[in-house]
Amino acid sequence: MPLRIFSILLLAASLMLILPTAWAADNVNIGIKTILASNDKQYQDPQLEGIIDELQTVFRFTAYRLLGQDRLSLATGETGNVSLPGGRVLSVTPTGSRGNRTQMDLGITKAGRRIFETRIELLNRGTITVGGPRHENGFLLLNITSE
Amino acid sequence: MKTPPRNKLCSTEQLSRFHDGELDARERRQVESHLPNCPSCRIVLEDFDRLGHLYRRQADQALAAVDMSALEQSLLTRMQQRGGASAGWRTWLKPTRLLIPVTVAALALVFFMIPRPFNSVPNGSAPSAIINSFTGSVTSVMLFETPNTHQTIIWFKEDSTANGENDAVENL
Repeated sequence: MPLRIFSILLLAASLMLILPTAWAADNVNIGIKTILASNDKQYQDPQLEGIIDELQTVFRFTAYRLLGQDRLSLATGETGNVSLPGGRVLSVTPTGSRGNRTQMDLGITKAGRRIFETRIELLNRGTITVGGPRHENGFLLLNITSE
Repeated sequence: MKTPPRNKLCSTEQLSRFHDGELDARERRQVESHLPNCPSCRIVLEDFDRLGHLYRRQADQALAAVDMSALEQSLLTRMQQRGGASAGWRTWLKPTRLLIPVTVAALALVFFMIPRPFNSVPNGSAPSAIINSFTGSVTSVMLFETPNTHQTIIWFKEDSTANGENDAVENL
């Protein structure tokens, strides 16, 4: 009897593990962290541990604050939108894959006007940071990771 | 109506079929019309009757000698023994019926839980992102790559935000 219970539990665990993976195999999972970088009083958001060190190799901001965190699961050709501060909207559209990279279109619109559009090939589990839009007394950094 | 030859009407086979009710209506009528004129055929039919009575009586005696309750009990016992034996096999086979799916499940778990270096975070010298195209209402665009993990950074200045550009540049 314990063997049967163990077997059933093992099967259930496998299904729980395999089914979401199989379902997600056709989708691209993308994590987006919206960060406000500024020269305010020194502050490093603990939720950005690991990211700030990497950003500090390029930027010289004194404060990094996580404003929002979003996760998109998109099929190829499907567009996901993320609301950004200042009435901006980030759109992400996976367009395919090549080797170990996911091809995707990134765009930012503000008040219905396209202010930024790029086509990239992002390494699987790789990260790209898009920055520049002003917000409050700092700048927005969009940390986009292919998960 | 043509009457069949006498030897056919008097055949034992024909009479046997008549006795057993196997003749069609026409043949039966022919035999019935023949019997009053043929003593030998009537004797044969009487023999069939006697033989049938004798057989039924013997069969009744044989059946009366059988202990039906004992036979029923014997059959039930045998069925239970057979059922018990197959149930024992089923019980024994139950774990093996799950053997294949459990093995597959275990292999799947191992496959998904083993860390796969080829699928881990890339740490080679390749940039995390390749920029194929860039368009927009921007005044300038800069591309960076972090030295440690070769993370690609796109820095752009919105066209509408002329003020503060110097600040942005100073922070790079």
